[in-house]
Amino acid sequence: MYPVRVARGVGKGFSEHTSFEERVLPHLDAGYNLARWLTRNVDDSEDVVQDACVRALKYVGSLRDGDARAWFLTIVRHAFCDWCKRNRQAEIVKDDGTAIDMAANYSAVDAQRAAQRSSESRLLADAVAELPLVFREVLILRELEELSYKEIARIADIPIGTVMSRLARARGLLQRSPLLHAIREHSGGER
Amino acid sequence: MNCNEAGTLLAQYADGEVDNLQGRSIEQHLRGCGACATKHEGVLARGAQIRAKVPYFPAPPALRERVRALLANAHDAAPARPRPERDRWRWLTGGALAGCTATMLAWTLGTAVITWHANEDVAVEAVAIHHRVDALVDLRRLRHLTMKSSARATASTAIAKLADC
Repeated sequence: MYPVRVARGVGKGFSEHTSFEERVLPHLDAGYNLARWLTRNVDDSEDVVQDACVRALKYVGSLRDGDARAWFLTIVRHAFCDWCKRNRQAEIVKDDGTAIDMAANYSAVDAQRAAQRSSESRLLADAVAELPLVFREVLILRELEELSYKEIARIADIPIGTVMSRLARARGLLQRSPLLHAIREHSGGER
Repeated sequence: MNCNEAGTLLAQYADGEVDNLQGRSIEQHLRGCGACATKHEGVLARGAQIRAKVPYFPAPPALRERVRALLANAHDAAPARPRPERDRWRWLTGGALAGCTATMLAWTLGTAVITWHANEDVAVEAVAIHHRVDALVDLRRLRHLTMKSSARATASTAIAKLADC
């Protein structure tokens, strides 16, 4: 796990705010994406990221060397875990789908292809969103953030062997998902 | 490397998580094994499908603005952080000043009271002396005028007592 140490007695001056702006803020998208996939809810993910930013700003003095993105993702995950403890019911809330439409808007080029892509993206996103939290977490960190097994192990605070087994399980569950069967049938029917 | 060994490492190989020696062994095996090569292509295709189709959610502009506002607020509040240290000294300075003022006030007041008492004592003493002098004068006059020897003796005793005072 990436260490998140409290910088006791250290005044938060200009340099630490600059450090946050230069080193942490560029990874806000990564933090939000992780929170978005963990909470599966637009508003909750914003709350988690905002809480994570408050913590990151507080502890940015302890960020000496290393990967700021992995450090920030660790904080986002901690913030999510604390949020889960406070809002157990919210954790099981299903995706409202609005964010998927939002993501589709970024890549819209051709209306027909965009509609098809949106449909496939929606099914695939739903399949990923339905994965149990522990498998969903490592899959997102590996496939979307393209982090190494070692970095994922530190962020999720689990051994590398567990990362590998969870990743294999996540991929297996995804392949067996009925939603992905629908995509394959849809693609096969068009040919 | 046989198919079983290659099969267990295909996902790690696709993720770039095998060492050089294992990587070369897998490459060699894939070149000679069509079934494993097909599996490998499937692993790569599924990974590419996830990366291409699973949406990546960038931070909404409103959230980014809120984080920047948070940063600005924290930055504005930052110079105020050492204040408790200064406040503590300010309290000490204020306490010392208050103590000095109270001491000076007490000293002035005490001196005034003592002076007032002293003046009062002097006045009382002056009145008493004045009365004694008057009595002495009266007694001497009485002794001088009286014809009786006993009365003169009594007056002399009284004059002696007053003189001692």
